[in-house]
Amino acid sequence: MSEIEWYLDALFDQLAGTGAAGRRALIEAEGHLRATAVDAIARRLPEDQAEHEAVSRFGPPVLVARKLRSAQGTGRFNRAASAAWLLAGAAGCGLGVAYLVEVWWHNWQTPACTVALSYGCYTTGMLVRRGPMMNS
Amino acid sequence: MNLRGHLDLLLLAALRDGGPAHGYAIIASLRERSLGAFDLPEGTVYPALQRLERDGLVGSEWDASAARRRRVYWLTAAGASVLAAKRRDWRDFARGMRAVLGPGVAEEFG
Repeated sequence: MSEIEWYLDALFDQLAGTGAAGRRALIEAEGHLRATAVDAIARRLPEDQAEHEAVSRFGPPVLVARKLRSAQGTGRFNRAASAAWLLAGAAGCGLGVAYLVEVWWHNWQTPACTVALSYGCYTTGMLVRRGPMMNS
Repeated sequence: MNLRGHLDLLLLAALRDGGPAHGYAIIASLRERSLGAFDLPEGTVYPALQRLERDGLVGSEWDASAARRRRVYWLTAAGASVLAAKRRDWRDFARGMRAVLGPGVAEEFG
């Protein structure tokens, strides 16, 4: 695969979700890269070096995609959407924890739990008391 | 050279002076006229052109006559008036800088 093809694939991946603006940017990028490479070949550069020069001058796909998203205003929207999802997720986690605490607290009030807790405390206490005696 | 904040002005000026052109020609024109000083990542020019088009400062359409599909850009009337205003701002800024840095700065740095 040529370097230009590789670059266009990488740019295509980066432009995911940009719709018509991304498709247009991809067409323009391909035209630009191929024209730059043709110019470089006319300067007697080997084809692989010409493609490398074209790609280098165009800039990293991440940068180009970021600029495009910024130009379309989609970058700000995506950040706001991500923040909203994050807040919704945090709120969901908070509700889940609150529900679990509520269930735990409710079950804790039952006689069986009280007996189990009392027995646990008694056993622990006995073990603590016996500990020093066993060591001596 | 960092062109942050100046790219729009340069693109509008290139379209005013060179007439309708596709992205590759605009970039080549900027590079030649700046004597290589404005060597920006060329891929960032296309998003800037799309932004200018969204703001109504340039128009564009696909050029079907070329062997490969190319989008041709031109300066709109709104773009021309914004360019004139930006030129005035730039002239005032340059005058102020020259006054602070000294009268010989233009000759010293070309």
